[in-house]
Amino acid sequence: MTFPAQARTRRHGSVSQALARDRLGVPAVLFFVLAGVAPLTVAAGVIPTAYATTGLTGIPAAFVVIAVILAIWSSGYVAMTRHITNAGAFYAFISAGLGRVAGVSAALVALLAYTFLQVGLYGALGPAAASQAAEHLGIHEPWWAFALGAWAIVAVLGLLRVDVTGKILGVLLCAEIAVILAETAAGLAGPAGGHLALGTLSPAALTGGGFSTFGVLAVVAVLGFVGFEQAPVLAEEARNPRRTVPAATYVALGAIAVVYAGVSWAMAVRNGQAHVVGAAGQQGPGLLFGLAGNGFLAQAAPWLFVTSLFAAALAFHNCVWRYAFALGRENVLPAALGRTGRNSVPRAASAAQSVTGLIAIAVTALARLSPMNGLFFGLGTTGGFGILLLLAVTAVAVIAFFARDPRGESAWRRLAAPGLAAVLLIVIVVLAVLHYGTLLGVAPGSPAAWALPASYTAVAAAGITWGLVLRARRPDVYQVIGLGADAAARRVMP
Amino acid sequence: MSGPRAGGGLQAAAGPLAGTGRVADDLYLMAHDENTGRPLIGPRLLGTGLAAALLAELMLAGGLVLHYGNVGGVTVTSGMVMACHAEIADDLARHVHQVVAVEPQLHPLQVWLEYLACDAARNVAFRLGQAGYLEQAPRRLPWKAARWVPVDPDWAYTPLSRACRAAAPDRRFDPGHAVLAGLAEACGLGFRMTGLLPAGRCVADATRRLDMPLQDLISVTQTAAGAAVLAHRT
Repeated sequence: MTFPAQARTRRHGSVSQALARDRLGVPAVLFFVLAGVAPLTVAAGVIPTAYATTGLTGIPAAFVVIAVILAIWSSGYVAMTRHITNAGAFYAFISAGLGRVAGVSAALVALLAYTFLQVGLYGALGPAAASQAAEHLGIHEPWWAFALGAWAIVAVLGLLRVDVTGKILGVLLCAEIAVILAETAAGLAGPAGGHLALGTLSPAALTGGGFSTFGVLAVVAVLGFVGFEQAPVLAEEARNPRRTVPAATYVALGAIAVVYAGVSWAMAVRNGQAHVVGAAGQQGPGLLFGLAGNGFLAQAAPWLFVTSLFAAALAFHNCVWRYAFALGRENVLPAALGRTGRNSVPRAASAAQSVTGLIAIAVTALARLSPMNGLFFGLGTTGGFGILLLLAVTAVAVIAFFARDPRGESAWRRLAAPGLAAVLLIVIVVLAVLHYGTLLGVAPGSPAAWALPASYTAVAAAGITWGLVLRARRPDVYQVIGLGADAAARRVMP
Repeated sequence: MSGPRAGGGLQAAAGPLAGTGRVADDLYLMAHDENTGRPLIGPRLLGTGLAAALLAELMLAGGLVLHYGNVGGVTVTSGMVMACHAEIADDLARHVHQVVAVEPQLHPLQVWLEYLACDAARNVAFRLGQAGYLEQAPRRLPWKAARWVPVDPDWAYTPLSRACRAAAPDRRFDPGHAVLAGLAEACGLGFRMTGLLPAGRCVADATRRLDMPLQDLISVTQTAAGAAVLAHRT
């Protein structure tokens, strides 16, 4: 009897060769990484808001400097991915390097950071959709109505395990990058004063408001790079992880740096360094859309901005439930989060994230807070700050991991690079904390200026406490922390 | 009157409700709606579970064993799958056995699960069709793949009860039913067994009585299923 797939082995040769054909190469991994970065969300949402909220003009230079620091950091990170294969990335590496108690703490910090990033997107999605609906469809509803509509769609798609399909994502990504590059070129072609000013790209711009402002600018820049760290998450699906992951990581860093530094510089060049902050405050996302005048690009780009925000909201929603699922599977979080139901969806994890988003929209609307400044930029940059914390701790974890066993890695990868990155990132963290009010555009004594960064302290402390409790009372759970999907195979093999 | 043809022996005498006696067939029926034939779990989980079930059939029949210890100078901590000589009546099982046997190098369970998962659902559905448990529904759209639907919902439901009964303490232990329960839970079908298991019992009560290689198979399947849920490609 002949079965439908009986000739597969004869056609493809050995099993290993057959499996390799189904794995992801560098372009595919790079595509997944860049798609998760949501370039237009950053270019039209984060950058203009950062100019307006912080009042700082060194954003282009910050992207360049942070790219260099992250490239140095990536040397150790990528080296560790060759020895730890876990879709949970950050917390798995921190568990392996600094111990499981630290790993639990890092896991909760990561969960909080990605949650901030995801729910913050509704603060831009609502106003952007409302603006387009009012201008082109004659529908005049408050921003929160559109935010709730988007939230409902994301919640349903999350429960159905519907990612934006690869082809649609590919088209959107290419369109976003094309728009950004076109706007950048147009902006640089029409500089204020008739000449290209390099002031915002110079290192002096990083400390224009004092040395401490570098920390503020760094957080904004790190927010732009969030997503590049996902390459190792795809290691298990990559054809040759030892080559694919480093290549995708460094290419993504370079591409992101060039695109964001370029477009933020173009905004400053077009409006003039002395006027870009004011222009950003008046125009918001229009600071990007108007670089090429009022033609087709200015009309089409805002729609693409809405789809970019939606795709990012769905992508981060799926990112958060994956984290919750992995932690539930390890019993670090309630086991219900680690179970799947119909359609293989971790419904509890997905629903929990949806509830969080609903609460964020409701609180912002009822308290009449600015969705763009408060929800989008406030929570978004705080999410970026959380990623910054994880980057710093991961660098230390890399050093500790290889200190026990060099595993054939060079001194640069296991010690010098992560050490240098750790020092720089810790300095940035301290500067950012001391000037968090500047980052949010609020007075230094404002509750948000200390409450938001302090939320990580509270979560980290809770994680350490819970890790100690697990070590004392649930050693079976404690032993598999950081193993991800492997946590299910608890028996020690002979 | 044509009807389902079972794996032989006692199963045939008990009629279609007894099933084919094959683990993968039962798991396939558990993983699909008994009325519409629509899958209840995602394609990657389904493939992984059925791949494991096909390996389980061969392990139960003595056609496959797991080799631990030292392989090629390397100490391995997970079982490497080795083919053994055995009389295998079923065509699909014989095909899988042949694939393992001709492979020049040993591979761990994880690799075989990933390899066999790609085509497991199609092949098992075809086998169930040959056995009379499934029939192909007319295509609604020309470009859509043909869908297999159960011939009789009751026949399609009984594997679920077999899996749940495996945990009962007062029944004769059946390793096939126990591994079915374990693999069903591992690949995300635990929600189907909720409320149907004997009071105070769980799937682990059945699987802990299995031989170690079969327990390893279930553990590795659970790991692979978790990785499938976390994967960015569905």
